[in-house]
Amino acid sequence: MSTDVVADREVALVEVLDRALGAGVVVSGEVTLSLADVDLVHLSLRLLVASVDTLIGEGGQTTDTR
Amino acid sequence: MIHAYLICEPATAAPLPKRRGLRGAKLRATTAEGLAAVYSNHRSFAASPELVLAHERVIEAVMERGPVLPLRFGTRLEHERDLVAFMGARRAELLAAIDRVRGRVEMGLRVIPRVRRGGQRDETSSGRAYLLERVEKHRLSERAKREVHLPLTRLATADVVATRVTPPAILAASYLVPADRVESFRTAAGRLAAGVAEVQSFVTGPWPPYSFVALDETSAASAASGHPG
Repeated sequence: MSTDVVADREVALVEVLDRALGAGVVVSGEVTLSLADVDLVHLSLRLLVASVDTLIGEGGQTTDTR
Repeated sequence: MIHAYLICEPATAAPLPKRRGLRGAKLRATTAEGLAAVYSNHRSFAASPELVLAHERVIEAVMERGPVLPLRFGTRLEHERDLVAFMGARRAELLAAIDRVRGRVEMGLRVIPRVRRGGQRDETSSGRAYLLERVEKHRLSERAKREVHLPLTRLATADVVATRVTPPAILAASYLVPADRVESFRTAAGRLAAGVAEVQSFVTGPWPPYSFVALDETSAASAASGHPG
C-alpha cells in the first residue's frame, strides 16, 4: 500500500506539470517559456514518471540498473 | 513583468487567500468587466517544476472560494493593463467558461503498463522489437480507453483524451466532474481499473479545470492577426 501512496504522489506531480504547461487559458496567445525551460520541465517530468514506473515494477523484474 | 495565475469572478478573489505567489511574491488582483485576474510582479525568471507547483497552489487556494479559470504557466505579460485588456476583449467567452466549470472539478486518469519490457533499452538495435512494443502499447491503450475511460465519461459532464502522452504512460484523460461526485467517480474508476490487470491506472484530482477552459483559439488568432477564421 505504501508504494501506491508514493506512486500516487509522484503521478500527481506529473499531472500538475502536464496540466499547467499544456492546458489552461492562454492570455493573448503569448506563452513565452523558452524551449530550454520547457525541455527542462519535461525532463523532470520524464524522470518522475520513470521513478513511478520503477516503483510499479517492484516485485516484478528489476528495471533500472543504474 | 507580471506572472498571472487565474481569472475568476471578482467576489472569488476578494479577499485573496493569505499565501504568497511564485518566489514569495505578493498576490494581487485586478478587476475589469465583472472579471478578476490574480497575478504577482516579477523580474524575469526561469521556469522550474517548483515554480509550476507554486502556480498550481495559488490556483487551488482561490478555487476553494469559487470557480476559477487557471492560466497556462509561462504566460508572461508586461503589465497588469495587459490582463485588463484581455479580460475586456474576451469577456463573453471568459464568463461562459466560468459558468461551464462552476461547481465542477477536473479529475485525471493516467494509465501506465504494469510490466516494462526488457527490450526497451535496445529499441534502436532492433526495429522489430520496437515495432512489437508499439503494437502492444497501442493494444493496451485501446483496451484501457474502452474499459476504463469510456465508462468514466458517463460520469462526467465533459472529457478530453490527451493527444500527447508523456511516456511510459499510454493513456491520459481528463474529466469535468461535479464537485459533489468526486468520491463516486473515484470509486467507479478504481473498480474499472481493477478489471485491466496489465496496466496501472492512476486517478488524480480534484484539479483546477485546466483542460476545460480553452477559449476559441481560432477566433483569438484571427483577431490578433487580422485574418478571417
